[in-house]
Amino acid sequence: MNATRTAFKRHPILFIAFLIALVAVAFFAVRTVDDALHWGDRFGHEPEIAGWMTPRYIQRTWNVPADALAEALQIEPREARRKTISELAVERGETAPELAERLESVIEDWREERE
Amino acid sequence: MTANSLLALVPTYGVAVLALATFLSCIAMPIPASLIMLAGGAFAAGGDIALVPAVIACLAGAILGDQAGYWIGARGAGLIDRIEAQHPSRAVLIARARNFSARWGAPGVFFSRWLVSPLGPYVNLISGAARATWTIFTTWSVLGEIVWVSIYIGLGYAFSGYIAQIAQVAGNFVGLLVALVLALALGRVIWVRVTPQSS
Repeated sequence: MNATRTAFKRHPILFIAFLIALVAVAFFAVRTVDDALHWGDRFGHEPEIAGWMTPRYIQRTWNVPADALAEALQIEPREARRKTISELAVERGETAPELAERLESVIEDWREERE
Repeated sequence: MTANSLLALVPTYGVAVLALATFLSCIAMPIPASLIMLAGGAFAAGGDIALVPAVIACLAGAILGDQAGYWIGARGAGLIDRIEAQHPSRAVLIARARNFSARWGAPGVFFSRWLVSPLGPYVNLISGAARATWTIFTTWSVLGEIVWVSIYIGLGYAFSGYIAQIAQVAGNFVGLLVALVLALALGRVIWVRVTPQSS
């Protein structure tokens, strides 16, 4: 205890920084443990389609062929190079969540057809 | 700007976004470079951007950012010399900092590229200010950045659907390690410097 008091007196700013670092250790330790315990919630389910994604990203991630999406997007598969879902939605006069939802149901239909 | 609109910049503007992101993050700008690299890997997997240029862009930005930090630190080295000359009482402290840097410089640079990457920009400044040998600094900087870029581009490529979750989990773990390193370093400075004098 005496050593702690001496330490604080000699290095008040460093001592406060040290306490803040300890709080940060506790904060990130709790979050890391939470990540480990909820690993399945984070990685166990299928991701959702979002506005920043591109058609080719979706093809690869959901493992669907270009043709399956092309119809829903009303584009030639090669035409949508590097355009995001948000941009494609604006071109079609709908919102990004609407288009995302439509694509998700297209993927679901395509998978059911294949079974 | 939200994380999602940052991600959308990658397919829109290509690999230049990756280089800019790693450069800015290596000079301590608050850019989620790991998330952007994960996106780079994911878009490369889909074919929107090419993998090899993506890796090269990330590396180029990061290595240039490290050099910029080292250079800024080196410009401050003269100032430290003047303090040393004018205040002999500080000279002991400065000598200790130089010894520390000489002893731990190489692993410090290497691990602050990828394992405790938020510390990287400050290690660059200190390396420059402590006149760390440029070739040694650059060697470990390049090796460390190769590890950093490979991890995040690789994870993005392999698990393209989960980049946001990977960034979050990795961020928490890296945050924990950074906080531990800071707590240990501060604790060591505070107590090691107290004990010999108080006994």
